[in-house]
Amino acid sequence: MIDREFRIGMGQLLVEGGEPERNLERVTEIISQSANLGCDCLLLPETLDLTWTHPSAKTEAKPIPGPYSDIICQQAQKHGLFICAGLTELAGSKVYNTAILVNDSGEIILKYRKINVLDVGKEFYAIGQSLSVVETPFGMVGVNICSDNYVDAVDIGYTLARMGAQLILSPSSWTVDYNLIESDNPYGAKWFKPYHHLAQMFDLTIINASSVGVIHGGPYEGKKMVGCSLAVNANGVIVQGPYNEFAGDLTIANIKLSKRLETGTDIGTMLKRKNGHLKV
Amino acid sequence: MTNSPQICTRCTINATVPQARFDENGMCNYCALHDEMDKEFPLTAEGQNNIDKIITDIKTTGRSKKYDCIIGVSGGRDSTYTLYRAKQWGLRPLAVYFNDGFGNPVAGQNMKRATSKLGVEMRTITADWRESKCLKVACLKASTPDLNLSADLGIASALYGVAVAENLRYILIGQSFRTEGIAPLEWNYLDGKYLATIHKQFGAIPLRKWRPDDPGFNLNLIHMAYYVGWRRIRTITPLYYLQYVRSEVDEIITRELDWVKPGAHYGDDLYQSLLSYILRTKFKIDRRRYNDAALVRSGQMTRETALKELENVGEIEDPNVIDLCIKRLGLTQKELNEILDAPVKTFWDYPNLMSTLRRFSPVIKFFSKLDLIPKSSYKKYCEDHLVSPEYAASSRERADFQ
Repeated sequence: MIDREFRIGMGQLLVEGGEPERNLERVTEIISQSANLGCDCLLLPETLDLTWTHPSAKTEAKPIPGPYSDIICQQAQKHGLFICAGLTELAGSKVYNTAILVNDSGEIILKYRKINVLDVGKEFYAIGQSLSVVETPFGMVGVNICSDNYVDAVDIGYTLARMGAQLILSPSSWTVDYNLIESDNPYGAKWFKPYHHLAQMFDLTIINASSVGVIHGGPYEGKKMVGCSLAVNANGVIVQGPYNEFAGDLTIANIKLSKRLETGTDIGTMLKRKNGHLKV
Repeated sequence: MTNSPQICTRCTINATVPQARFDENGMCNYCALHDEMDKEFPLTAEGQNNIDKIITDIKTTGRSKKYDCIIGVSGGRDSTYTLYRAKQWGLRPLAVYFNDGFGNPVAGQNMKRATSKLGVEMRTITADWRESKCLKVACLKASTPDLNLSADLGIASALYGVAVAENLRYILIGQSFRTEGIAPLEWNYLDGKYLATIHKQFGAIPLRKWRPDDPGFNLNLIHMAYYVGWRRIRTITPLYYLQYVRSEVDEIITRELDWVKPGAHYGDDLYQSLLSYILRTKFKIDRRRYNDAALVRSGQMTRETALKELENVGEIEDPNVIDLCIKRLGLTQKELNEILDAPVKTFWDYPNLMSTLRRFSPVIKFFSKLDLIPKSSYKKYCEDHLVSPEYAASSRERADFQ
């Protein structure tokens, strides 16, 4: 494990419901852009192929590995950077809301299926059954997805932290009502609170990249996604992406991960000392 | 052998265009209207003085405010250039984008880059997609060529709503009669009562109620009276006062703002692809007929080139984008076929405000002289250029009788 600063791009991708080719074209562009800007790793949103809870998830989802993940792997290899991205995965007769972490050789080194699926998402996505972390040149990385970091689901983050994660990457589709405007604070403390709690408890860094765009189709029609992606460590917000609902953006942060001192049962002792476990 | 319809000797308007009439030299009434507008908005020192005076008024009125005006933006050429010029004039605009769910991502990037480079704040007014979709489908079912009526009206109401929210009195829009032309009424008609009627007949969900700062898709006469008469919000078309040459403007905004052409004219809105396809196949309308006519009149395109282009399907009719629009609206092939096969109608087939506008034309003329309403709107709706002589005579009789 190399103890060094690394450069991550938070890619707030514009996603259009049920338009995987158009969405993946933008993925290719933003990968190239982030490589040109010297990123070591690029984080992309949840279900970036079809858009979160778009009805096409039921008919258009592809396996992983499959055509959409192949594009991401090829681009990772071509540009020599790590990419974490959310895709809609067809596995047998089930569809999962999945995230992959691809290394700079274009290999999928971690695949995670979302566990804390919202009620409105259950008609589209099955529940994931495992969590894992993987060692990378930047440190130990865990992956979860969007509402896995809800304040009442923080045990998912706890588990990744207990597995040694120094960094949690979280492809997301944070949604808001259609009538929000740029001067509003779109989420209040909804996301910052659990992110900061995890970061403080375990001295880790947690980063998301959220989609932008109007939600066309599905149970969340009438809502939209406005970015404002977040990178948080124990000291607070490292960087936040801009508010936008019609154009993608790339926000870059230079991150140095903290060493995780406690392992195994030491973590329980540490949590007791810190008066751990979030009060929900 | 069939006779070809008469074509204006100066532009591309032909006898298939509603209310097209030709003088003894073969020149059409649309050209006459263009010349009239040209005189009202001369590209001379007088025209420069007029726009200078407006700019001074905007600055004076907005002196104590965060912004002094609103500019409607879409990421297309016209609105991007309007924003660019406004900053050159020293204005402090708030850029307002109405997002009805069909924005072209290329145009979105243009807005982001332009506002960032010019240091202008953005305000995005997003339609409730359920309402937006419902109205688009209702307009398709109404079977008139006004397929984007809801978006056109939504843009206007969004601009008024933000003007109220920010207590501003000036709205600038990037429109130019010298490059866009003037659409025949039967091909492009807009009023709030008409949309409300279509929604009532074909809409699937209720619309949210009007609020001064959040009008949604409501812009009826009483709402207009509030914005224009009571709040005295003025709508200015700065490009009318400028030598506006598309090729030169493209070069400027590409160089200064990294602007990227979002496809064909109207390409800033993906829905225009489906709209153009339906206009051409169902209504036998090609909007380039009056768009390019304007470019010919203003010397930016030769008549021969324009007529030649009309022989081909427009570049905007991208089959992939047409499919995207159909999918996004949730239409089945059967529903689309029914829409395409339904008998052609016009706004005259639905209750609308036309006769009211004609009745109150002196008031509207007064408002247009104060720039409270664009002069082009007054000329289009209240003068006789684009209506049949019979309708013009009968509406005059009704006005005299009252």
